[in-house]
Amino acid sequence: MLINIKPSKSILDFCLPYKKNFSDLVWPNSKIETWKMTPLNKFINYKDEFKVESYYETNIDNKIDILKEIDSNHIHFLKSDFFKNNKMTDVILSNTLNAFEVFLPDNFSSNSYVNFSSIVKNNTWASSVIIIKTGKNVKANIKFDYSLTSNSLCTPLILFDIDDNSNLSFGLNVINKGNLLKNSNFITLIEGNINKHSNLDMVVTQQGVNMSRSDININLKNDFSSFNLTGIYFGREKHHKDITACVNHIAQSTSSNQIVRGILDGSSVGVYQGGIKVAPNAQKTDGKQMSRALLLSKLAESNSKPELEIFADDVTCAHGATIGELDKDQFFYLLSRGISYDEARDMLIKAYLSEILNEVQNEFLYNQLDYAINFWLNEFNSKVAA
Amino acid sequence: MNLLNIDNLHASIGEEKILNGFSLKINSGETHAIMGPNGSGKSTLSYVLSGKDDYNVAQGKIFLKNKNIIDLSADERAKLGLFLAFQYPIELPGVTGMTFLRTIINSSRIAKDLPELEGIELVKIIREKAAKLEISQDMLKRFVNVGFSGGEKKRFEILQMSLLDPSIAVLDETDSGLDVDALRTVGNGVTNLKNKDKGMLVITHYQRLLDHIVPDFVHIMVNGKILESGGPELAKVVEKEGYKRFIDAD
Repeated sequence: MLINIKPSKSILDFCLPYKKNFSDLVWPNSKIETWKMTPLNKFINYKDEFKVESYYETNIDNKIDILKEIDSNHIHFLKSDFFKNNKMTDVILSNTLNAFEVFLPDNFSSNSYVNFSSIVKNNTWASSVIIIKTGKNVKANIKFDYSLTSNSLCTPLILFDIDDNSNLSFGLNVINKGNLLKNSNFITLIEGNINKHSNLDMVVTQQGVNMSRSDININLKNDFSSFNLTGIYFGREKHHKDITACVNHIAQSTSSNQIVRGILDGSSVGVYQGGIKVAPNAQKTDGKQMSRALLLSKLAESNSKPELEIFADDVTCAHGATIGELDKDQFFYLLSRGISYDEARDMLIKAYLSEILNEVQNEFLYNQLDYAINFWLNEFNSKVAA
Repeated sequence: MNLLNIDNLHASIGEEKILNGFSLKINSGETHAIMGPNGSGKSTLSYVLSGKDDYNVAQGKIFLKNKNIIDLSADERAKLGLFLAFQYPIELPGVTGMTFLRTIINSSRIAKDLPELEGIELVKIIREKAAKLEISQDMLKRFVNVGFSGGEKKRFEILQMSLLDPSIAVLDETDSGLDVDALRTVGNGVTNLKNKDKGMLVITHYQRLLDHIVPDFVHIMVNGKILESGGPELAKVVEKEGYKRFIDAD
């Protein structure tokens, strides 16, 4: 089913003050602390006129009534501090042409998944606003796949509001054949509000497009809420990949875990900015973040910036970041067994990523990571063969 | 048939010369032992033979089954039938034993123009050979060499050797880190793999390994070259007198 729900009057009214021509937009630049390592004004460089349009395909059965217009009661989600203070919000809302809400009512439970996919055509800018809202006792899997073409821009803004006792698994994949693209940029803003005894498991994969950034802000608003992020980015040529995530522990006994892995070839650049903020009342917080980047070439670069801001005294928080290359001794060991150079390299990359795969218990999310890894390895090997 | 012919090999790492005109011939069916004090170049010899990149080979030739392999990569040498059992086997976190063994078996079979093996047939071969070396199924599910004891690591090396069925096996201080029982298991495992078509080069400090893997020839290596060669009795002399006499003679 093709979705192009025109923005409702309430959201059009909300967006009106942001309305601007593309040439007049002010992109987040290096003067803003969180955009220092990914200044968009350096990346966004389109010579041709853009067509503004946005479509999603979905596997939702017509009989399941979970797609809605965003009504005036939910506009307040877009007025949060995160969206209000993020310069990218202004850019997204300046040309939003597709906006919808996925509403999963109380006790909705499904082991299958709801899929949304969007292909952004040549010379097109696709900007969308999506609210994913659950009732109580919901269990669901949702996946968004984005595929770009040359000279395209994709800027979805996604908001989660997860009510009590719910468990949502969410995958966001940007996948493309990297060597075919020029000037393709993907920037998403994601905010999540997670309530009592609820959990959001999120997998973010980025590969192929020239520049991509997933900017995530999660609010663990009520006791015993939790959030897990598993992120992988694959860079090659001059790609720039960025996963920026901040988890705000606002209530007691909340937990979060951010694991990010990057593989960088060519002269690509990877960025991970991870934040854990613990409010004074958020005792018994358990927050972790770990990033690792694997550099496959001398020119590849990785920048990590883990940050902790803790105002409670009974908390467990951990963070770490490592950057490395494939181990020469491991390589030699595999070669000495008659394994070819390419196969040895693939084995070691897969081994490097296996740790992250092993962390993901959810089969739906595991399959997405596995697919993304194998897609990249095939791409990588075809480039090497060429 | 001559399997390995090392001719006047000179090799260095950085500015340091380690092999200084090393020569040795191994024919099929023969087991040669190289003994020498610390720093005599024994491990370097094993790495240079198997094609490790870190070494600069300034002079000399290495013929494996009459083919000069000096310019071949490590995987190409292995595919031609050279196997190195590491003194310190490398840990491979994220690679399970079974996946690793499957990969090396099929790489070897492709090199020999044999069809790849899959499924039960492959697992059966691995399990049978593993059982002979007292390697449990559980160990094969673990990541290669990660958390293995010294004995487990060395048995896993010999398992790989038995599965790859190399023409020439170089065993670099296979006895290091082994207790008496593990030494017997590994020694018997290696001895069972000896046959008239294979050659073996056993590198060791001590006579004790040679009680289990009985050599046809023993060579004393000092300062990167062979100083003296003899039969198994030469190892007994070393055991009794040490290396001082050879070092002084150099």
